[in-house]
Amino acid sequence: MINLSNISGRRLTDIHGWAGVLFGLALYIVVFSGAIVVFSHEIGAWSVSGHKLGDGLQGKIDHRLVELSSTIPEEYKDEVGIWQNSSGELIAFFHTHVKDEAGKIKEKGTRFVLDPNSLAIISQLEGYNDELPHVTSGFLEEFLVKLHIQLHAPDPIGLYLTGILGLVLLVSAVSGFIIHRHLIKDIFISPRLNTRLLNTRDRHNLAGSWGLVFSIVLAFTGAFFSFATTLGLPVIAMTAFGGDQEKAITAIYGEPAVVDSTPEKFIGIEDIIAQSKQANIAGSDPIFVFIEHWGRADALVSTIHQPSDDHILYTTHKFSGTTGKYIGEKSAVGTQPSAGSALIGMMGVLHFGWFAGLFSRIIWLSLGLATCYVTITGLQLWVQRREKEERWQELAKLIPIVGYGLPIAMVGAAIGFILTYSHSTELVESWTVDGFLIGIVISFIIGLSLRTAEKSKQVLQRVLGVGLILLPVIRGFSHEIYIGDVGIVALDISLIISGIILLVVSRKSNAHFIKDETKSKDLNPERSAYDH
Amino acid sequence: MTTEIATLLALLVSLAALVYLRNTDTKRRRVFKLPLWTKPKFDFIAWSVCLLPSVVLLCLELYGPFIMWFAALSLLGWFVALPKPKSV
Repeated sequence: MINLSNISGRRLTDIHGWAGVLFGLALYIVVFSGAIVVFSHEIGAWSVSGHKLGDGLQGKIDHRLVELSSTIPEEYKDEVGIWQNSSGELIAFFHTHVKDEAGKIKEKGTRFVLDPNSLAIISQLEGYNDELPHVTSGFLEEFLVKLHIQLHAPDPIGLYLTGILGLVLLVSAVSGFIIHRHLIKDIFISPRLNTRLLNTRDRHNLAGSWGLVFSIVLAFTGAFFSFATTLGLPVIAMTAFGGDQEKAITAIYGEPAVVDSTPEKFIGIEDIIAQSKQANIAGSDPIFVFIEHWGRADALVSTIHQPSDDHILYTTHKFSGTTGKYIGEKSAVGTQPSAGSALIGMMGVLHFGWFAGLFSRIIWLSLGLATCYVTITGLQLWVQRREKEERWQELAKLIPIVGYGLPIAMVGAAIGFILTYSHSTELVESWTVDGFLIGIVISFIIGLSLRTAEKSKQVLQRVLGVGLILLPVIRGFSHEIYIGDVGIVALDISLIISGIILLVVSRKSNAHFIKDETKSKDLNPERSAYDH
Repeated sequence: MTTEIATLLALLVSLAALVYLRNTDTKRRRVFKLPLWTKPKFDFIAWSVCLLPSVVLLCLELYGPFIMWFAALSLLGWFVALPKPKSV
């Protein structure tokens, strides 16, 4: 594709290879968990068998919200966020912004978790938002999302880590594109069976070539989301607002046009939600309602809506909190519609794939898994080219351990969650984490106790297959089964099918390669993997 | 539903073009020792047909189906190229 001198080509090949070897397994964890959390809402609903059904945000909630607002300190009415989690529970967080001991601005208030049908209080907690315990019903979903977003490392280190891994993926994709000299010529070459090495190389090149554009898109948008708030905002605040982050946030997100603290009755959100659902406004149910200055003359209500058939971006609509009058659509960034605002909206669309229901999610899940395949085959290629070097064979063993160990650990977390869900929050949290850790330990024991990577791959495939088949069974016995919930039954069936496929695949013997690979010239590590 | 149908139609058009391109691909035929393609080849037209849905979807302002088609095309191309020719 691109003419490079031998030295430049070799350097780029080194960058491509070493980036993969040093960060490949961590990258795989982020990408695989990212592919899975494309279905985080479905997993969240599935994990509690979707049994919290009710009108929720679409029901008669005004009276209840007024009741709740009368029980909290006045300052917490400054802002109210109302949403439903994946299990259907309604969450209302009345809060204000205060500085903690370290001078950091935080949200502090009272969080109510309500039953979506009866609107009875399930839990009521007061404190800083980031210190409140998790909402039990959404813990598995949150656990998986946090694994993808920050690898469960503390904030902001976790975001830096995933941001760096996003950049590593970007570097690998771009360097792979440059060094693959026959990208177009080889675009239809299916993996050859001459030798194992050639087969791995073809598999890596083919998947990498076809997935190149979207690897770059996913890597760039992922790195953007990791660094936007951790680095981007402080840098903007420093350069354009003299270090004042509050000013920067106000400029980016906009502030109410008029400030009027005169007490005035809040109109409620039922009529506003009904209005927002009209075709000429959002045309869909809101997923999040945000109230500013409850009980004041300048009260504002924002409704946030998922993409609809006519609109691929998430939209926010503003209404007066005293009259209920529609004010207009709010830009994602700034106070006026702009190219930057649309660009940020598009970043979300391209990274999450949440814009056209199930169909777009299935495509994004597949894209994520395809990227995982490229990462794993790249690592396999590296170790196969160094088959005679003892130190690299440890890495060869680690590839199936991490490759299958991560999904096994996720299955372990799900089992831990399901089995303890009807017990206390602390038990749910500890056993979800323990389930995940037990999955990792089992994978390492299997992987390290077996002599070859090939054998451990087979056994790990079987363990994962059995785990996936067991999940719907355990869920069925632990919770009440709702046959009417298509999403949950569909996920059950998908898990069973995936488990069966893994069991079948694990029984297949390895492909027979034509040549004795120990005699193959492809084994020569000096030879570029991209020369044909 | 319009979104899904538009995406599927676009992918079907691209799939037909990709299958033609795969079957006539010179290097693939040489590598897998298939007889050379002796009939006229229409690579440029086939690639144009493969990418044509992008133009149509954008002209019709079907941005959702366009993004899905664009994303799924990479998977489709991979799955088309992956199987070995039958005679091998």
